[in-house]
Amino acid sequence: MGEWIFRGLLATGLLYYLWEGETYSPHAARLPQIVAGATLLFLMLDAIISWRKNYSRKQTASMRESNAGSLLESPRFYATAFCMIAYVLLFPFFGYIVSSVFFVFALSRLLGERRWYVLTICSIVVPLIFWFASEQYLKVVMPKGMLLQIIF
Amino acid sequence: MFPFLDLPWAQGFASAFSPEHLLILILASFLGVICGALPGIGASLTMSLLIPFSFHWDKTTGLILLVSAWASAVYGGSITAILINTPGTGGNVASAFDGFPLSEKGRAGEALGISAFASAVGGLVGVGFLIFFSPILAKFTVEFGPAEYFIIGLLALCMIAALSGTSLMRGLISGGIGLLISFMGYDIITGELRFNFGFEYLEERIHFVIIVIGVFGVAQCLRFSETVGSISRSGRVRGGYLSGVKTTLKYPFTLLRSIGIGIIFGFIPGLGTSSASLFSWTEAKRTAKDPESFGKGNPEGLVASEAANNAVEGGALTPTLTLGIPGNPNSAVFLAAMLMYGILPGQQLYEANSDLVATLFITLILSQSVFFFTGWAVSIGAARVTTLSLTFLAPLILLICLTGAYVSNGQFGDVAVAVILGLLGYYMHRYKYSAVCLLLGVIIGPLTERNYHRSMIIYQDPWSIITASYISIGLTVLLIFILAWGLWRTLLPHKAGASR
Repeated sequence: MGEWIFRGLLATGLLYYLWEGETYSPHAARLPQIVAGATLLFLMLDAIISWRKNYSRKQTASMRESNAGSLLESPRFYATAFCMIAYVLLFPFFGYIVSSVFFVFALSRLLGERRWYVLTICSIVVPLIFWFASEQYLKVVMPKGMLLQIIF
Repeated sequence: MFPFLDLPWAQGFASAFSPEHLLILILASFLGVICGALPGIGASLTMSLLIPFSFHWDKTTGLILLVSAWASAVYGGSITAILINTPGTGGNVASAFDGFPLSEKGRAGEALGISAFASAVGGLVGVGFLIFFSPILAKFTVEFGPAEYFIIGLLALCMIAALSGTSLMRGLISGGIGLLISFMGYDIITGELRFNFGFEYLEERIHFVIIVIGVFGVAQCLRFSETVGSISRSGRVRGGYLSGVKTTLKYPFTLLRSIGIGIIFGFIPGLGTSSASLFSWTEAKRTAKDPESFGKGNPEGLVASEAANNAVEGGALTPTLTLGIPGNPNSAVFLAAMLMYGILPGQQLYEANSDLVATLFITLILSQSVFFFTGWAVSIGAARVTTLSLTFLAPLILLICLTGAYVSNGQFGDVAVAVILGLLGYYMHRYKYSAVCLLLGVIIGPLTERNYHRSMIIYQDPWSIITASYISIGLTVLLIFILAWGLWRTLLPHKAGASR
């Protein structure tokens, strides 16, 4: 089921890409539209081939089981995905250091890390090292975040 | 016939082996290995960061610094590819296919040894090729016009789609998505803004380093999060660095063929390191007696990808030094540094700066040997990473990936895109869509589109592109053959299996 949802999402994206191509000049959009059309065709062919394989008389029990999977994953996957998305959303407001400290601490705890010294080193020391190396050696200014800019 | 015979080799040796230059070479090698291993940094950025430091130095010293850092960074990218399945550079993507499964089996030390030795041999032969044949073979690249480049782009994509994954169709779908991502932003020929979907961030093309970080690094962290324990399933590291040397020597033919592929891909401008290592890995799989073991920890796959990606650099320097056309992004940065020092490429380079060329060639040979030892020093500790608990390692790797995404361009949008691509990569892996084909599509997209438009301007219709030359006809026949073979394998798997 999950595979069909994934296919559906890809097909929707490709159709949107094709539709978006209509708003540009033929010169700029021709090759992208050809590629999008061909990809959509391959997606349909793949769906037909998969359907034929999975629902033919020769289908094995193991294949049925493997197709029973859905987009829903384990709680640990959800925890990681949630923390990643939260990190991206909080990054502009809290800046690199604060959001990285919270991100590593929260994710390590959610994944089962209980040792306080490991949590401290990983969540505080490592982001500080990365921040220092980026600013001092790579000369990339890491964002302070809107919150710190307002306070200071 | 051989301009290298006229070079002042004695002066070159004296300069390259001076204590000051040797010290710089070793320090730059350490720095290159470490920077190359960090996702988002890579050889180009490492050299870019070093150029301001070397600006006031003597040009010979400055170029020694850059050359050593370059060679080492290309190898360094394989360390994270092998240990945590997160390639440091795009050129090391194929190294993760078999390198990471070897780490999972507890053979991380051996895998790092294979990578270092194959890289060193590949690099040495690539440089040897550069010294002996560069001016002669550079002329051959002139035979490749827009039509040939366009067909080569499609051929590379179809070949990888047919051979790397489980299904040709899913490989082509992934490649198509990669191409569509590469088409976002300003049109190469007309400059028209297209497919940015109203986002200012998408006005510029998404850099392929962000795609490597997202589709490989972030997606791998999502898979790590579902695993309990360490990367090494046994929790131990077996096999040492030197055992990797022995393992590499078991595959002499693969080593030589991969070096040949690397050199050819290097001296054809635009094909790049990633394409060379992917193609080399695919070729090794195609010709192996046990192709099904590739991607599951076959040392031959690692030998193939690592030998090719370092051989590319020697090949890529060929058109850079002789024609002033950089073979890949790394050589483009190197060319910029040469121009900064007032050194012009071409025939005048061999005439006016012959002592510098001799020093450069000797340094290139030395740097390929030095990173074998600096890599050894770094990997002693690095291999232990595979035995650490994933409860804190997965968040840290994720932080490295997202920091690397930000640092590579200094844009917040890159972090968000890396996360989105990470989720895409996770589901692609789950449903057996090839992330490699997606990456290849992104890499060859601009090259393919540019040459498609140029060909259409020259030949007016698509059929004339195919019949533009004997090379393009030959490449098209090969393309059709690969597609037909891939389709036959997909549609009639039981017959294909029976015939094997």
